[in-house]
Amino acid sequence: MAVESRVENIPEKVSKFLEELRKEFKDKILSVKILTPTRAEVKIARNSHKQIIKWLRNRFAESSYLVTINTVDYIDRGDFELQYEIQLAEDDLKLHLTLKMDIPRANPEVETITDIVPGALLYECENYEMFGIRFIGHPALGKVFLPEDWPDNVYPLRKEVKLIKKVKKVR
Amino acid sequence: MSTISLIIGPQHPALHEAERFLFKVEGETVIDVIPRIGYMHRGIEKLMETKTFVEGLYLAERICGICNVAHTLCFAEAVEQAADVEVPPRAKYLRVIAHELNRLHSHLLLLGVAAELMGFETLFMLFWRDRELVMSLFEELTGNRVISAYVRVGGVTRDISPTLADKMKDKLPKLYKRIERYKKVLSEDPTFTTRTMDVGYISGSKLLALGAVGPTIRGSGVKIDLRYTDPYEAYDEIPFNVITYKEGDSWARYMVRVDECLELINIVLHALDHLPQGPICTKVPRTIEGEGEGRVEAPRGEVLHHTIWRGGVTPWRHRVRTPTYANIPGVCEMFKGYHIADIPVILGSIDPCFACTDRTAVILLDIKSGTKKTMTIGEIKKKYWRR
Amino acid sequence: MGIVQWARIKSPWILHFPSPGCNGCDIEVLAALTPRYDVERFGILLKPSPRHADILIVTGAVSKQVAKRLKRIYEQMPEPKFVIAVGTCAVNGNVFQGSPFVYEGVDRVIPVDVYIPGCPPRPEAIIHGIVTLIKKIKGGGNGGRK
Repeated sequence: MAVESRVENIPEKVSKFLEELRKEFKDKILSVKILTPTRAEVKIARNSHKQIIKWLRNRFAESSYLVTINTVDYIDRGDFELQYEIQLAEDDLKLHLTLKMDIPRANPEVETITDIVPGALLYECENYEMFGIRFIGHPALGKVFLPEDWPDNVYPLRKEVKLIKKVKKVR
Repeated sequence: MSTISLIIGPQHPALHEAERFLFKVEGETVIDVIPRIGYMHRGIEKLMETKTFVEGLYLAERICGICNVAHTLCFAEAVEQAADVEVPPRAKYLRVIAHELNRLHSHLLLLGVAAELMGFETLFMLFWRDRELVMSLFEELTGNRVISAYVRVGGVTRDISPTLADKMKDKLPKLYKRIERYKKVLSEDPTFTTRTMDVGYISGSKLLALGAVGPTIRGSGVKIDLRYTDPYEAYDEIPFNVITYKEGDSWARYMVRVDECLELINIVLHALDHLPQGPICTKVPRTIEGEGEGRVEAPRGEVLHHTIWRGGVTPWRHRVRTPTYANIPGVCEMFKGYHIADIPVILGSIDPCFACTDRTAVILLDIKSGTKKTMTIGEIKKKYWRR
Repeated sequence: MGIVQWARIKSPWILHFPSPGCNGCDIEVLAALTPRYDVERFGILLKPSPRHADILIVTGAVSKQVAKRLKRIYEQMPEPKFVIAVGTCAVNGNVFQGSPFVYEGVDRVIPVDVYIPGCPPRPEAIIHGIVTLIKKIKGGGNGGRK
């Protein structure tokens, strides 16, 4: 479990918090990377996101919020990378934490977090529509943006669906 | 009494964009809301993967015309982080000035539109007349009134001349006095207060769980402002106050914006006085490898651009998260229990910008068969696009 | 010029339809109504319903979902009706060209009488466009091609 850091002056509270996080979930945390004094990336094992988010919500009930849920399609590696971004906004601990989790492209299924964080509803819907990731337990997984006559198994933001660009030569 | 479903949108005088809300009402009281977003979709995230960062900047700006400086600033920050490039200090201060002027025009715009939604047309005209002063200052600084492309990856495009700096220092204090007068009107005039006080109440902790951002959540007493929580550009060097109101109703959300207008005039004057010397731009390489994230406090809340480059001239993935998208679950909670006549007031209080909300959704041509699993979009275009 | 024609020129009422766009053109259309530019001196009023309007102003790039609704609103307007396409997105698609999610121009959906390019066009340009349309009506045009 390496801790990489790109900066020198990391606030003491941030390093203490990350140590605590590692002690709590020993084998679920694969690596920790600190990018700036206010940003950190944590790579976690598959299906461990729900426990970690629950622990964070209980610890920082009045001063944390879910920023977004993002997906990156690594077609060459054969998996999707799900990123959960959480902002901790206490007076002495201001940290933007990104939890990164790999899920296989062939069977993209994860548990939903809408029972812990109700604000994740729309983000999970969007990721389902655009990438085809099924969130088990989501109350209303359906079409939010796509029109009614869109075919069911075409996911626009996957890499195999290509956009042919009309290149206009300016020079 | 039975429940009726009332549809508002997509074309409606109270909405400045095409969106549809399905309200379930009993008599005059709203019981439930189902929003139907997706009309404004233009496929921006997919298009970004085919554009270099110069072209991507122009596309990012047109996600939302009202908060356009925020989107270009966010995009530029994300690409600069991915490319590991540091921006010169003078450029940071100039970016702060453009960003704050953009926020000022956006807040005055919203306050005018809110007054119009309540039928107070005189106040709408007065707000927009004062907004024209800000637009002419912005035009002299950047070259255009609305979409200016002032921020570029690596710095800014134009420098500020001493005459313009003096003109700003002369005109902005006069605008300050006018906005103080508007603050008095909005706090005391019953035309405004009876329609906004105690309308659309929601508590801070509920909004935090639903993920709301910006003045929406600051109107319920929670101190979350990205310029304070995660300072970017020159905000760690400029002193300012975070404005919060604890009432939690629509009136508080409007007053947060009025006070922010006053606060930001102080920020701009401070930045003009402490402008460092030096260059305004640095070079950025064309091919980039890395991951960057830009976060900015736009007038409506937090904007996030997350970009991943893997050694090419175009990004591998570009993700945009806009503030109104985060505020929609919150606003649906706010409608419940209030009357139909309160709907425009509550919707206006979160400052909806649906152009930002739908940038990823896909609206396609008629696909009658839909049997293929993977289909290139070029194929769809050739086959089904009617010319 | 009869009295009906005279009335049509002296008070053209407009309906503003915001297609999906960045809102830059929408705020310039609204700015044209405010005291600095004041397009109401031509007798123009912003009306909420298509049944009351003479001129339809479309701003922004037209997407497929909105195209159906735009057509219905155009059909609801009474004759004679005119359409102004404001902004480069409404004229030919602008930066969204090449995206199959956006039609390249409003004229692929409904017939257009006046095009006002610009990103966004200044309020002065919008006033010039409206005056051009009024001159066209004076010349006896009845609007539309279908």
